Amino acid sequence: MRNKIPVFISAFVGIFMILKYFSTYPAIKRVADELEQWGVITLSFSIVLGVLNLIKINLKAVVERKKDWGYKLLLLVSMFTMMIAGGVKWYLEEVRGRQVNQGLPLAVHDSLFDFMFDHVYFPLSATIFALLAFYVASAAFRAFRAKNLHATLLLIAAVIVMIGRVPVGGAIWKGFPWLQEWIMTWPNTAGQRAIQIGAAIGMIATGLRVILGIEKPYLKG
Amino acid sequence: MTERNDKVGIWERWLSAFVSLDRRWIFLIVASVVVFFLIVPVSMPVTVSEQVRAMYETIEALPAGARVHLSIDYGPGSEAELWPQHIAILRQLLEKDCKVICSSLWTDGPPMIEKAFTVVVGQLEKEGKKKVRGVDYVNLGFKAGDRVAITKIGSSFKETFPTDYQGNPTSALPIMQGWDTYRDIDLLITIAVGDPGAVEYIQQAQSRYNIPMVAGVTAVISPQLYPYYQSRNLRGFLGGLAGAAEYEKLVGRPGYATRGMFIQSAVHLLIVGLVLAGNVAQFALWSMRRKRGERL
Amino acid sequence: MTGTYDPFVETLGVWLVCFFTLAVFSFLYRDNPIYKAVEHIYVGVAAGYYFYQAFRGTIYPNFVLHVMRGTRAIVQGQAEGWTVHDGWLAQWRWGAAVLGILLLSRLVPRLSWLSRWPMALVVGAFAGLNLTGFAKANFIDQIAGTMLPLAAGGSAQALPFWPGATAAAPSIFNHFVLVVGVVTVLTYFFFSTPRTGMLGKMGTVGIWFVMMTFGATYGSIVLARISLLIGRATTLLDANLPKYGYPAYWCALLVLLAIVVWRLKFCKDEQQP
Repeated sequence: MRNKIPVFISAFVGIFMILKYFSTYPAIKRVADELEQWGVITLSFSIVLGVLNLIKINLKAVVERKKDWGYKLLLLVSMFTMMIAGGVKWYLEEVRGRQVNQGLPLAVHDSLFDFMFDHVYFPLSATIFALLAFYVASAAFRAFRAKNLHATLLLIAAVIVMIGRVPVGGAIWKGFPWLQEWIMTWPNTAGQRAIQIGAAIGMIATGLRVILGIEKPYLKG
Repeated sequence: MTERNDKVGIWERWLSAFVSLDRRWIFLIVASVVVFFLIVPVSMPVTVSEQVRAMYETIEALPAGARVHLSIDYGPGSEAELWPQHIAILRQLLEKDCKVICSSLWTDGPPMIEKAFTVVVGQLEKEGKKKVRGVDYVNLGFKAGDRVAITKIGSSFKETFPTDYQGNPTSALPIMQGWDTYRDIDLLITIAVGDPGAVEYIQQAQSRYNIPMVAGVTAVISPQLYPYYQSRNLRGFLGGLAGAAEYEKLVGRPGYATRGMFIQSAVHLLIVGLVLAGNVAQFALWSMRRKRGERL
Repeated sequence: MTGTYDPFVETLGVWLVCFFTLAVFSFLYRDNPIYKAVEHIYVGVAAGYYFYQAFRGTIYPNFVLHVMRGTRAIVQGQAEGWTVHDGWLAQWRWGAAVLGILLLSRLVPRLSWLSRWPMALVVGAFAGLNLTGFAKANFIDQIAGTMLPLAAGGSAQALPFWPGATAAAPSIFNHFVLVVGVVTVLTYFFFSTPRTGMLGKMGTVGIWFVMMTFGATYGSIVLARISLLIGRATTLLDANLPKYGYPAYWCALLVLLAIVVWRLKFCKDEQQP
């Protein structure tokens, strides 16, 4: 039962997703619509699972005073602060909002939740991604070598795109933006398209294997 | 070891030190160039690409009152690239009196939607054009589910989003009256950073319902979209800050993206310089070592 | 920052933005306690934020409100346009909640096998949707897009280099590049036959196209990453105003001092990375 029911569920859902694509029969649409809602809700529970797992691991580390437990405590405090701030925003918009806005919820933009999103989450998220700019520059200097024909082609295409995509390219030589657009529109389209066709064949095969129960990724882990 | 070192000339030692330069010096050079050109701004003309012009013309061709689904699938991590696109597109849509239905497949999306509405609706209000939430535009908020959510949105907006971001029932909102599926949408736009994003919308919405679609994406994603543009799945698209700068030129409101383009140019020249310097130094070093009979 | 805050709260926010930005940048020197602290704050705040969005964005409207409306219809005979029958149909949604809760069984190793059911639902849905989505958009549409004319009457369209021709304009030469590129790259990815003779030559041309594609992607990645850095630098510059008391300078000094103290006091004997 442990292994057979999941195979049945995945085949049932997969077949209804395909049937809905081809059919306008109301009963099929209705079942497929409800299954999609189940998928949406189940996937939102996966976010909840991730958060609960984070709490479990970090709380254990704090209680047992493991290495770096102070940082983990900081993590938990920030997490619960954000959750409580979210609850307060919900209250302000849907409960108090209705009291002051003729029974309708009210958009609130200056709650603690918004403040933390704007001034804590926002700069941290943006800067962590921005760090990569430095590593891209460093990699360009240390690892990007024209060792053979293939690497040289890659390097030439990259340099033309880098120069031609920004205004200074056109200022140096009018041909740079032209060449950049040509590389992107023709050779790049050809390469990307072939990769996409290959991926499509792979996806179709994998989809069929999952629906037919030959492949069972959900049994792993 | 000592014997070997004696044979090594001063140039070789210099080159060897140069190619294995501590990466923090490169970090410092990059940071200095960015800061310098941020303080000393220089403007340069921007050349508009074909796919950017095509996107602009697709939106311009929309009639007043056209229904547009604007999916905001990015967050603070790519705000620098996508926010200028978001603002330029939203303003163009609202100026054309389109009905803008915003939603997000990314948890980070809803606040970005709110921010953009605050900015653009505020700007338009100052210019005497009042736009009303729930009538001219709506934020339907976040929906989990990736491509499952896209298919669900396609068959019923109101079932997928029973309430908007603030909790108003969508079935009661004036903007949501008289329609419910992708077949009633005049244009689908996604401003996206990754998966789920433009490619997933093409697969699950555009090609399924055969609706017109355009996209604004990060520069990382843009090379993947060229095949879809050539096959007419996409009517046009913007790639990264450069695409946003081109769009700002077309809408006639140079802003943040145009301001960033010269700094971008300077850093690109620096990186190309670094690539060339690294290659020249490495090949010179290899040639010196080969001359000494050292195997590489 | 577009929120409408009190002047004091706004100033506090600007200082926090500057501090967090510079604290993350301190990682460029090396991993340090300030970076570690803000990194943990980031993960915590992000998790709290995701939890809020998952609950308020999806679980509450799509499950709780839906089931409550159905229950009201059953109890009252009719509610918000739903009949009793609709109300009972709405109760099916409990299945989604049960599967969602079963997913949480992964937290208890003894019961974690129960999470296979919701996983199977998600995998099955993705398999079905990908099968049709990829088949149409990535397979049929892309092959149709490659069916291009390779001969034309007008000589002006023969070459892309014709005076005034734009780089993206269709021409016989460009069509030829696209068709040859797609076919040869597909040949290169064709692993089940040894690449010898004609297939080998086509594969060689294919890899040239692959390299140009990867080069174009690398160039685009540089464009993207530098844009993000410009974004942060612009934020710091825009925030560093006299009315806020030059927060970027002070926060830079604070981060620098903290790292100097940490280096001198706690890792005297440590080697440079």
